[in-house]
Amino acid sequence: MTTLIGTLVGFALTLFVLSYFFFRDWVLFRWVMALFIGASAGYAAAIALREVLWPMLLRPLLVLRQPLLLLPLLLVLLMLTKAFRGKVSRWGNVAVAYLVGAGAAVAVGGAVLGTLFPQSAATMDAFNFRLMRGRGMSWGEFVITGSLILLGVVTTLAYFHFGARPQPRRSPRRRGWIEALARIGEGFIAVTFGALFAGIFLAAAAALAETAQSLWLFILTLR
Amino acid sequence: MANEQSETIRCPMCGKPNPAEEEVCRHCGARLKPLTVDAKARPTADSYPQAGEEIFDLSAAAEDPLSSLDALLSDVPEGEDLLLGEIDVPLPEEEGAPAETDALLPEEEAALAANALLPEALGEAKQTEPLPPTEAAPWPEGTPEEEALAEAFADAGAETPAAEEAAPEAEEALAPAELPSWLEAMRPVESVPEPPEEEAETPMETQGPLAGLRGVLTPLTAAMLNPEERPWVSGRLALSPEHKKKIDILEQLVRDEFTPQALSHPRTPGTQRILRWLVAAVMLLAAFLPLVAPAFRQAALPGSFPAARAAQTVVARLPQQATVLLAIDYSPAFSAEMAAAARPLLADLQAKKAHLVVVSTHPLGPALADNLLTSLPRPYTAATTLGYVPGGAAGLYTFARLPRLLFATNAAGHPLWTGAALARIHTAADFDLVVVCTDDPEVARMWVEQVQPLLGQGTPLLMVVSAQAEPLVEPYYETAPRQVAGVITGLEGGMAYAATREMKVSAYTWLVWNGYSWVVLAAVALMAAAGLYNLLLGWWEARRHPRQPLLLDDTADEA
Repeated sequence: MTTLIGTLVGFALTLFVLSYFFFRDWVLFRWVMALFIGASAGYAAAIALREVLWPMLLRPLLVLRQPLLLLPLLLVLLMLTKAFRGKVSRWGNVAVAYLVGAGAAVAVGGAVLGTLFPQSAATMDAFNFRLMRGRGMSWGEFVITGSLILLGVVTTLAYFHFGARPQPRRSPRRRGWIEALARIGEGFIAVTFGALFAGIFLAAAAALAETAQSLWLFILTLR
Repeated sequence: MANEQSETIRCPMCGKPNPAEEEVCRHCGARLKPLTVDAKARPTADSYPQAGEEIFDLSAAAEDPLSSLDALLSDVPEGEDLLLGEIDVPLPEEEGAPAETDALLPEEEAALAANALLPEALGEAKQTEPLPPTEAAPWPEGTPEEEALAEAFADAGAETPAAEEAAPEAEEALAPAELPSWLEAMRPVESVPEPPEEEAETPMETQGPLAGLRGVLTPLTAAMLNPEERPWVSGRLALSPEHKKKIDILEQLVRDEFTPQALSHPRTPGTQRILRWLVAAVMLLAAFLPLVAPAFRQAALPGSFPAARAAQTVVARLPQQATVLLAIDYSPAFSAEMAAAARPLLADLQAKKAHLVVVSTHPLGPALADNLLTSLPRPYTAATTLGYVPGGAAGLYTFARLPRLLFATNAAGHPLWTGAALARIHTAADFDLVVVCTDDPEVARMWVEQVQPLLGQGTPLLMVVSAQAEPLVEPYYETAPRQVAGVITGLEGGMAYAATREMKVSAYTWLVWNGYSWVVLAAVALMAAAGLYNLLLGWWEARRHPRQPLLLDDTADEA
């Protein structure tokens, strides 16, 4: 019985979400969205209390008597002042500064060592025939792949070159050869965004197919 | 040269040298030596009221302005104007001009005229308190008029106590004042021609920069000072309908600033609405088609995916009973796609009896992980859920280095790192494999940047990602050495992984795969049709309206 009620509720909520196709942002769709957001926020708050604050901060502090954790507790209390208006909220800046500073340091270091250097090296590796041959690439594939990567990198960078010369009676324009490269780069950027959009659509198509399958199975169980 | 300079003085006006003994400049006539006048010796012209001058005690007026004004007005004969600020001072005349001695009143007449206009209180104050002499006031001498003035002031010297004593020395020290010719030319009084008779009745300014000009200042009449006789002026503005209209607009603007405005929903044209419903109907039909018609369940398996094949190779090399870190970092909206992508991999790990250690940087991740592991054909029981990793990139970095510090115990306080699978784990590099399931390319990048460098060669990193994150994750697979050892992309990647392993997929997954294939096919058909339609429409519009070059100004437009 419980399963049936749960399945019925799920069926109804799914139909309300799908109603956006026909009625757009109407009352039932908005109600379902509010329900989802509220449930997610409440669950996240419970998780934060149950899996973060109690086992990582309060329990070691109160039960295990670890005084060093007073500092994180102080930062937590300072962060709570951000919820108030007026001058009190300034005290929260200390906690925010600590979070932003530590987070930025970690993120920048990771970005440089984990993305910038390896990705630059990978772009240059495309012109390393020995390495590419080790990956099973033929000479023709190597030339085509390397040319495409070279052309794509150069023309995309040229697209983001905005230096232009004023022209009498006409809008300022870039130099002719930069303009030509930028046009090609525009094509590469369009292909990139097209691929991203295609990926988003494929994810939505998978969700639609799975939802249709769930609805169909529910209908079959009712018979 | 120096002696010559000491015997000459330079004119302050024209700058030319003159002998030291000269009183006036030989070249321009300007005075070279200053006039020295003993102020106590002689009274100045400003010290005494002149004919037509009104004396008004400002200190008394400041204390009680209304009573002072009333007292002043009470002395003015009815119907006559009260002249304020108009002082008739006799000016020195040029040589040969007739002396206007009439302007100087005898002592009795002057006192009578002054007392007639002054309030009683002011008059008493004037008699008892002599006005202070003005210092350094030049007083011309030499002409007959000046002599007359000197005599008049000498007669009135009783009011200036030190005048008699200082008079002889002062007369010797005083030199006749002679205005330079250029300064004489600037005096407006003599240069103004005689006014017509009608203008002569208007008062002429005798002092200050307006000296010599008539009718510049309106005389203050007694009626102006009397509040009862003052003309009544309304305080209300006379507004025309045009002004009223503008005021209404301004008030409406101010009111609108504080009135919440309802969002306007632009009406969608009927054709677009029909088109949207048509697209939705086609998509839903494609999704339900293989479910209602078994004839449409013939979708082909996806082709070879190198990244998925690489992932399968990594899993195949895993030892039995390996410890695998599984990160469930996708949102609930993508659970269908992500579960379909991850199930074949999890089934493979289950076959190798791998022990899963589950974490998530998403608060809902642990719950989604439980749902995923129990939805397998055989529920995955060999798993330990550590829980939620807070702190974003910093938290993930801490977990990769010191997982035992972050997760010392579970929520109930029981130790986590016990048992054969977990006892040897001290850092992320101690895991045999790390698998990250995410729909967000930013989260995938965070794992690559913060965790992968700490893993070393012995612990490969696999990614199970949504189709929307694949373009941004794929470059990490293309590096050498590979930062991501293998990638399984969405539903298609999961099916490719299963096809590579020749695994049997469930009937549920097979139906979802068929529906997915039909939806993608329908979308491709719709996009191709819409693109062709737009192409033809653009070609038709280009033929009807040829494109004009962009011109910036009117002259170029005309050209």
